[in-house]
Parts: sequence; C-alpha cells; structure tokens
Amino acid sequence: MMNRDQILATLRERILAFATSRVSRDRAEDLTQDVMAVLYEKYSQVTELVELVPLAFQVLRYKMLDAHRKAFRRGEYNQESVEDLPLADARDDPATQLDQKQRVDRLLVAMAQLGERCRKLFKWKLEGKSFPEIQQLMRQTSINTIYTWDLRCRRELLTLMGGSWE
Amino acid sequence: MRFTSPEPRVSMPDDDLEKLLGGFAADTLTPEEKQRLYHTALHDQQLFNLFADEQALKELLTDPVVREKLLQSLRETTSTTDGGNVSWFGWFRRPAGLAWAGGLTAALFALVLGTNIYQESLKEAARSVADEEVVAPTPPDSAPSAEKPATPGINGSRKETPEKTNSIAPTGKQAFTANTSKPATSTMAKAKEERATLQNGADASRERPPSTPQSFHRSEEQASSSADQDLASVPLTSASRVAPTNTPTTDTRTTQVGSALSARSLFYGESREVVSSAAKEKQEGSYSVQQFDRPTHKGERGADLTETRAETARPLGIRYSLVMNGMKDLHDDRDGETSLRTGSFDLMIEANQDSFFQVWGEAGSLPPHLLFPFSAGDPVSSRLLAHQRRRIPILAGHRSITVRLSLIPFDTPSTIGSDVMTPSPREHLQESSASLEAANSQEQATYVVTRDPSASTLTVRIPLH
Repeated sequence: MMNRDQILATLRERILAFATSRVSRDRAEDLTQDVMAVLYEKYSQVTELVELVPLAFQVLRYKMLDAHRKAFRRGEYNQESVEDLPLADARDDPATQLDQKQRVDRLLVAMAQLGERCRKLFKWKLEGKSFPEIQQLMRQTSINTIYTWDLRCRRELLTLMGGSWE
Repeated sequence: MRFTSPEPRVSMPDDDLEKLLGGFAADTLTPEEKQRLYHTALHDQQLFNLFADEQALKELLTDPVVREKLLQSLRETTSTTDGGNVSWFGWFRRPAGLAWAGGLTAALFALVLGTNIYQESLKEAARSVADEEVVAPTPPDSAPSAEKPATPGINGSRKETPEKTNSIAPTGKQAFTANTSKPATSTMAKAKEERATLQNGADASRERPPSTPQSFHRSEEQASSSADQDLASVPLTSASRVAPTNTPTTDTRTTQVGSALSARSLFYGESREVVSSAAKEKQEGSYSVQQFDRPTHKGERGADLTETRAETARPLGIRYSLVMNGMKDLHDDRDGETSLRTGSFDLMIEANQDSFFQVWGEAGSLPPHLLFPFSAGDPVSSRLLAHQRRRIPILAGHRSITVRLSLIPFDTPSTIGSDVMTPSPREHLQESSASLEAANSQEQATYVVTRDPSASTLTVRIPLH
C-alpha cells in the first residue's frame, strides 16, 4: 500500500514523461512542477490513490491548457503585441466555448453512427451504470464480454471523431 | 520541490488496460476497478498517457449539460431502433441475420435435394425389383399406349395403298407398332432396307397363299422358328427375343407385338386393354392371328365360348415348370448336359382360367400316350382351377411331353393325332422367367399364352432333351 508521498513521487515521474512527449523538456518540467505544487498545496487532504490519480490528470490537463493560453498570449505562436490582446476573462473565452461546442457536435454525430449495441452501452454509461450493471442489462455471463464490447465501441467512436477527443 | 519515483514499473496487458478506459471517461468504474486501474497507470507510462488523453473526453462528459444532450440523442436513436422500424435489409446486414438466412436457405436446399434423391431412389428400387422379377422384362406400360400409331405417315401409307396394307402386319398387331422405343426415322430406314429385300424375293412371295400376307407370314415364320427354338431349348429369354434383326417394317411391328405383349403379363391379365384392342380390330375385319392355323375341331359350344371369351378378351394361358425330384431346376441343368432321362420329375402347371388339361407323353417310337389323367374322359381329374398349381409326376424316359389345355372337357379317345400334338407356335406367345422359390431355389417358369383371345384351347409341347 503506497502512502501519499510515494503516490505523488510516482505521479511526478509519469506527468513529466507525458509532458515531455507533448512539449519541450524545460516547459515540461515547469508544467510538472506546477501540477505537483497544486496537488501538494491545494489538495493536501487528498491521500487515496483512486482520488489522487484522477485529480492529477485533471490538474495536468488544466495546466497544459493554461500553458497553451499563456504561450498564445505571449505571442509565442504568432508574435503579436501584448497591447493588442484583450483583457483576460474569468469565463471561458469564445474560442474555448466554440471548441467545446464543436466537440460536442462531433461527438453527437459520431455516436449517432454507432451500432445499436454501442449506443446502448454509451447510454447506460452516461446514465451512470457500472460495467457489472451493464453486464446484467445485456444479459451476459462474463464481465469481460462487456469490457471487450466497450473497448471496441470506444475505438469506433474515437475513429468517428477523427482519432482524437480534442 | 522535485519528486522522484523509487518504485519499479509494473506492466499490465494492454487489453486489460484499455478495457477499463471506457469506464474512466464515463466515470462508471467500480472502486475495485478504479483501484486496479489507477495503481497500474501509476506504474505504466503508456497507460498513464492514455488516461491523460482520455481526460479530454472525461471532462466533456462531466459537464451535465453535455451529458444530458448526449443521453437524449442516444435515447432517441435507441428507441427508434427498438421500435422495430429497422428495415429487413438492416436486419439482413447483421451477422446474425445473415447466418439465419444462410442456414435457412441451406436447410431448404438440402430438404429439396434430399426429397428428390429419395424419390429417385424409390423409383430406381421399383425398377430394379421389376427387372429382377422378370428375367426378360417387357415394358408393361408400353401396352396401354400401343393403340396410338407411331407416325402419321405409316397410317397414311396404309390407307393410300391397300396393297401395302396387305403386306404389313394385321391391324391387331399394327397397333403395337407405336410401342417401339426406337426413333421413327430408324424404323423407317430399316423398313426401306427390308422393303428392298422383299422386292428381290417378290416371286417367291407371289407363290404364297394370298390369304397370308407375305411380310406377316415371314414374320410369323421367323417368330415361330424362334418360338420353336424356345420350345426346344426353353431359354431364359422371353418371347420378345424372337424378334429378327433384319425384318421389314411390318416384321418389326410383329416383333414389337411380342415385345409389347408379354406372355407373363397376358397370363396374369395385365394387358387386357391391349388384347381388347386386338379383339376389336379383329371384329372390324382386319387380319387377325385367329386366321392362322387355329384349331377348328370344336363344335358350336366352343364357338359360343369363343364369343364369350372375345367379350372378356382374356387369352388362355398356361404357366409350367419342370422340377426334378431333389433338384432345383432342370432347365438350368440343360447346359450341363444333364438329361431329364436320368430320373423322374414333376411338371408344375397353372392356368389363368378354369379349364381342363391333359398331359401326353412321347417315348421312343411309340405313339403319344396319355400320362394324365389316367382316363381321357375324366373331367374331374383333369379339372384345373385358375391360378391353382398342379403337380404332375412324370416318369423318366420320355422324349417330350405335351400339355393340352381346354376350356371345355376333352373327348374320350385315348389316342391323339400328331397334328394336335404339334402345336403351331404362331398361336402362342411364350416367355420364360426365373423366380425365387421359398426354398431359396430359382424356378424357371415358362408362360405360354394364346395370341388369339378367343381361342379356347392351348397346346404346349415340352421337349425334354
């Protein structure tokens, strides 16, 4: 059984490797440090593995999006003047909103193209049913059958989405 | 602040890892699944990367608005498909539908094929049984269709040229010409060839009595010679084999009469229709077999009986076989040069109508003498009921025996003329067939039937060596 420090140490290694595969090494180390600082300072009460890991994924994604926005603001992508940029807004910017709307639309279209079994699977999952419950609903004797069907449906949906959830 | 990870990485099969990812995005993993998944992801970089990428979808599905929107969309499409509005083509495209359709088609195909094969096998079995029953088979179904002419040309030529009509077979037999299984062209070609042969021997034919058509006479001669041969040797072949190879069209017809009229079938009364047709044509004045050498020693009583028989149209027939005491069948032993003189034997006779019979024997140079019944005028002993077999013991030493069959009782004289003892083969149809007896021995039976349905007597001579 791992304690919190051990979990965080392992998480740091995983986060750094992941970030390095997406951005430069220096930015990846900064990104990792930012994530770990949030986990240490803001979520010091979270000690369980099943809570820390998804929390780390969530923080990591926010920090990467934030880093992306900062780089955009700094003109690292288009080298525009800081004075030309609008003031920051606490809400999602229209671009983010549009991006999310487009992702939802793509997801709706992709799900409509799935087979009946996959649609049922996704419906039950969105309704909050676990795999064992879905197993009973689909009258299957083995849970592995449900895992396999869900894996295939997820791959098909990802393909219909263009290969990425973004 | 820097963090390091001292623990070694733990690998997990990819299949197991990915299977839990779907539950991660929808946040439907059980505590056990979460524990296993996160612990593994913590030590596996690839799984960790997959989880990090899956976070985008998880974030999207976490939004209640988006989640409700997706759910609504899925419920609509699911209810549509559950409502049974899927077309049959959609059902057919599914693997299960395809499997059902394919299996059903294969089953139907196999059923139809199996039924056909079964019916064919039944037909084949019926044919083989019929073939086994009669050694020399004569198609029984050919008789009913015999009344139709083979080709219109043949009938036409008969009507146009009466001379030709005289040169062909009697109409009673002509009807059976249609029974030929050979193509009409080959028959006609054969007829031409034989006609040429006949023209060469026209002088000889003119010398013959005008009441006897040449071709028919020739045909009958050939048939009778064959029949004599049959009588002498009692072969295993049927009377249909008396057909000569090179015969004119009329002869072919005569021969085919023999083929169509199986003596055995006539004996058992299976070709009554054909015989009736022959009797009918006889009444119309056509040539009839009755005109040839039919014994005419009967009185008015016999004439009345003849009329009655013409109405019933059933020819008199006899079935006989020779059984050596302790031997299977004497006919089979003939090739082995086994003579009947080596011992006594039994004569098995059976008539197809209630009649009277006599058995005469010829031994050495002595005149024919009565073997059965012991008194020539014994109407009781010589009574033979229809299809009831009688066993007549015959002592050894006879050259031949003659069986006389009559619908009326015989006269009293104890001697008989040689003309009566020598039956004319033209009157008879003869057929031999083998049948299995109860003792698993094969019996060689011979059927002799009068060609003339109105004939009330039948004489069969059986040479014994």
